[in-house]
Amino acid sequence: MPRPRRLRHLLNAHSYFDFGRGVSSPTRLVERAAELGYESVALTDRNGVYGAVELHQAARRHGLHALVGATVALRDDADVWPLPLLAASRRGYATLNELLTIAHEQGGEVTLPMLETHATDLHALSGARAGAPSRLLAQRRFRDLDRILDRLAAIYPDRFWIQLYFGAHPDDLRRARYLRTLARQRRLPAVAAPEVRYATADLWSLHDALSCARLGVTVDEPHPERPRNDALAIPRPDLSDLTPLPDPALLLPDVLANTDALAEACRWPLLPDRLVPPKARLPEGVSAEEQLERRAYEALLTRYRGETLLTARARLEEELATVRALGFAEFFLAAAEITDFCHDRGIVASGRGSAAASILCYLLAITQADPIEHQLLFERFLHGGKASPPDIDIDIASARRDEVLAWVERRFGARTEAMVCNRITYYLPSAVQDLGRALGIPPETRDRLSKALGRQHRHHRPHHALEAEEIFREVLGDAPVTDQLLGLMRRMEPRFVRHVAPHSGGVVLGREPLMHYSPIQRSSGGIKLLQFDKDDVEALGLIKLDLLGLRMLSVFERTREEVHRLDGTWLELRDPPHDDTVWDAIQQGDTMGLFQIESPGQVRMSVQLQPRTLTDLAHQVALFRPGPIQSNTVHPYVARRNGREPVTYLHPSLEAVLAKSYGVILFQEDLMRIAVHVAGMSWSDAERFRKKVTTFEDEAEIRDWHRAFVDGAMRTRGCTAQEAQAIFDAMAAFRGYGFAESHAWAFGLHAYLSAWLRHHHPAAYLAAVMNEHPGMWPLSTLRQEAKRWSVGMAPLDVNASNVGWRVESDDGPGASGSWSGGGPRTRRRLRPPFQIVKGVADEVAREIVLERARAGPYRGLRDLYGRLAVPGEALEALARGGAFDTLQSRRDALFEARALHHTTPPGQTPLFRTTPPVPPLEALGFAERTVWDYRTKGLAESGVHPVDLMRRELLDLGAVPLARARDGEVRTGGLIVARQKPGTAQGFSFFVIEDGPDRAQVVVSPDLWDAHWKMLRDARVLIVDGVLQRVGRAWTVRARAVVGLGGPVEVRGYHYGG
Amino acid sequence: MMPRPPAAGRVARAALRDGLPARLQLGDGRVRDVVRVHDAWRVGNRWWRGETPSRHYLLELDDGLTLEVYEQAGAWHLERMLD
Repeated sequence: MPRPRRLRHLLNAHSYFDFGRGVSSPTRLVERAAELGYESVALTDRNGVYGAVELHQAARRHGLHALVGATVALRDDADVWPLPLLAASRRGYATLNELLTIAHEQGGEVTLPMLETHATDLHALSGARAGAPSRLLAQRRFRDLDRILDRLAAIYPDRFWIQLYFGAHPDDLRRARYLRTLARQRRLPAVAAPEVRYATADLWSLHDALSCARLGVTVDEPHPERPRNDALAIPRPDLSDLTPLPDPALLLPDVLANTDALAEACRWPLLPDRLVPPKARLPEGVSAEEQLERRAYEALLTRYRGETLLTARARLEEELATVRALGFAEFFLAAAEITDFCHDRGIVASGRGSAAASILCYLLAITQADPIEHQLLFERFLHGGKASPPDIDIDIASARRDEVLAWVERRFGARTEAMVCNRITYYLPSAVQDLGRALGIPPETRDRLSKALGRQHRHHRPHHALEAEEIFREVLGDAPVTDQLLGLMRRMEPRFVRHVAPHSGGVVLGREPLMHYSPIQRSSGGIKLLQFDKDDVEALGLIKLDLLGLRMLSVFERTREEVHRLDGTWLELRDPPHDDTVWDAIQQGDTMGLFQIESPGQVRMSVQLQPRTLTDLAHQVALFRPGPIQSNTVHPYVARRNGREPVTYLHPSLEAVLAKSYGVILFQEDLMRIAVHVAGMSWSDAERFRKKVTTFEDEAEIRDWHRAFVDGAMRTRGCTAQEAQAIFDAMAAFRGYGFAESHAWAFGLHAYLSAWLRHHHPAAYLAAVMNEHPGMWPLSTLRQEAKRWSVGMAPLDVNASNVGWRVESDDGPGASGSWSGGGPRTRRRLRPPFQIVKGVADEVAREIVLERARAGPYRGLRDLYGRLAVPGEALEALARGGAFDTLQSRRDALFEARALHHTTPPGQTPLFRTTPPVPPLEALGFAERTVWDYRTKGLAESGVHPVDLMRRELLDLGAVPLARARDGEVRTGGLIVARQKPGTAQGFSFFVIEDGPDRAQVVVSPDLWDAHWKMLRDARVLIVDGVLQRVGRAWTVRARAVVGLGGPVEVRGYHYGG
Repeated sequence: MMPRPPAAGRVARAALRDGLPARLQLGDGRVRDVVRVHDAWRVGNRWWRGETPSRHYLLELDDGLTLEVYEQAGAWHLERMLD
């Protein structure tokens, strides 16, 4: 018999944003609900509204109503009850956000008094199986039940609903009838709200497994919170798949009428039509638009002259008109306030990303690259049809980013500032860990499997697990658990969210308190976090600014300070002048320590491309990205630029867009320009197209855009279907990460500035690089490189070292600090800080320096130990690292350190000597001292290289020192300082070997790797037979044979891939 | 005289009406009508060991017996008798 009555609304659905308690995305829940004929879906994830925006967007697409809610954990003495809450209005939503914010502050739970003060415009359900009524009835605690129902009914007058549910458990039918009776007796309305935790019944095993992972049990261990069956899927509206029995109480007319009434009461639009900028600080009586124009025109006249001024003015007027039309003036002013603050405080900050294409940002000093000079595309940043807000990224010297964030919070208000969250989604390794733990796979086996997945499969989504089946079977064997694990993964949605974490820099500045939009929670590091990611925040009408820490900017800042300290010159760090000697060095591949162009690949690229302008450098920086690499852009670009290959285009119409990059797609803007110029798309469509084409995971995601592009190209430019397809394929191959042109310009500028500083102030620059360590090379390699820069290094010294790397100069000021300078350099040396010794914390280093300043130099280790409460381990490490070498022998110091450590409390000078006298000890030999230096500090200040210690052995084996090696067949060797096995290199791996200040990249073929991978993995020193080619500083050995040696020390170098 | 209760274990056959058991043939070979379905529920079982879900019913038979039976992968089983 068909059932006449149907449920129309799902009032208690949970998504994977319930983290281990739900397994479907909000989108999938809506899709399934729409298939079954529901009209509304309410999302009630625990302590969060993370999925609310996605739910609304999906509901809009499927013609459903999205209802916003969350489930709070109500603490009532010893009990904790889940209490689903639904927002009846935007005001109710703000109330809910405040309550959830409190819940996160209180360890995830709320109390009845908290509910009392946060009840406005909220409806409450009594909870499903784990709710108070069901549990208290089962425990026959009728008095407690009365009390809690009375309190909730009082807190939510006419808005507290008894929740009837059905989960196909024994007695559920009777329970639902009983709950309805209870509601009638207490004059409370009853609603039908089956608990939903996934879209379809086949997901129940995944739900069970993830529940186990959350609860810390394996599937073989029982737990009351584990699901018993597959009845938490979205039921058919007549509930026929939940129970074959007639007339469940959930479908009684009064219950259905109440359900309809509640669903209708909670319908309101979450997503606004317009974006809301933050409040900027404005002079009295001046509008934001007037203030913006005033600042921009003032700067225009100082930045441009002659004909360029006319061009710049026209561009500015165009941008201002767009900004006015979109109502973004205050946003630009707020961003400028932040960079103004940085400039005023001497904090190096620089805008990048698409904002660098805006003349407005340039004139407000948010960015530094001139968009007129470099012909940057404003439409990538902002255009009249823009559906999304402008993207302003500001890089800040990493060491001072917290200072800026603290000021932003003070300036814009603690309630109107927070960071967006990053959704951390499952990939194969994380899925192996969580699901493997649930299935009882031991941790070592899970780790082995994760490692075996390697770079090839590490970034695959779990639903593609079958592509790595061979590896799963290799590690797990053919045991049933392998099939179970693969089966569970196959069921996971592509972007299954595991947890959220702070975004690297996305700060939202609201006009009104941000809790109107989202709950605020703290990350484990204490960062205030919204529950939405950058796209959701945008959909909610908020605008984010990216305030990102960039170590290289700290290098610039520290270099400037050091130059000022040494020479009294203050470098402005803007517009470094063209300097042929700087470009000569870059062309030679002499780029160690420079921003973005110091890797072996970039060294080679510098030699091949011979960059001479900022344009060249911006292109070079952009070439080394996954987008250009995967779309095979790099080799054609180099060959065409160097005239070895003619410049060709897939279609003549592309010439207008790609002429500057020799016919290849290099920048994100190129995709937009092609979409507009070739396929006739609008700028807003082109922007959406670009986003989709560069981020899609499955072909199905871009099917519609594919068709639109091909049709558009045929219609607009008369392309044949094959030509249009070829252009689309080239664009789709750009998938992954490519730079915006404006962004590449900003980075190119940083790269040149770093080269300029390194060339003119090598000691100060090297000290800054040693302090901030922004790049890939270990300190020992930088120490060797210092020899080439004529920078010496003084030893660690308890009476001379500080808390940071410092430059010392015996011969007074001499180096010029101005842009126009560049006079002869003085011989300078670097002194390492105390923290270079492993085990010496910042605090200990600071205390040593302060005490020295307070009471004079130390007379020895015993003196220091008597004056300061230094931990014994740190004292021993300092002794071993040579901090007392100028006062006593290293072995003596170490003996004393150990004796004191075990007999005398630190910071005290006993009346009587408590330690035995130091016996006569043999002085450290040359080799032993070098090994101790490397082991304690990672380098030897003396400049001795580990290979020097085994020179005899290498010569005996016929290995020529790198410095003496010549092009052609060679046997040479060196210390391994970098290992790379990038996924884009078709099985080739790359090892950088070092011998003193000389380095060479060893190219290892896939065959050689397969034959010797274990030896290559474990070797410290490599002897290689092969063909050496040297061009500038790009030295490459194509290996025919390799032999690994142990070596006296291991350098923790750069490791990537494999 | 009370009828001898059927042996526990596999139920020989079950006839369904509207998705519910209407008649059962138990281990003693006798066919009994179901006069009332008191409850119905589902159990997921140990999916990680390849077990399939089962559907459980609490039934009252025409001879007064009340028992729980379940169907799993097309086969019917007697779980317990309540008398």
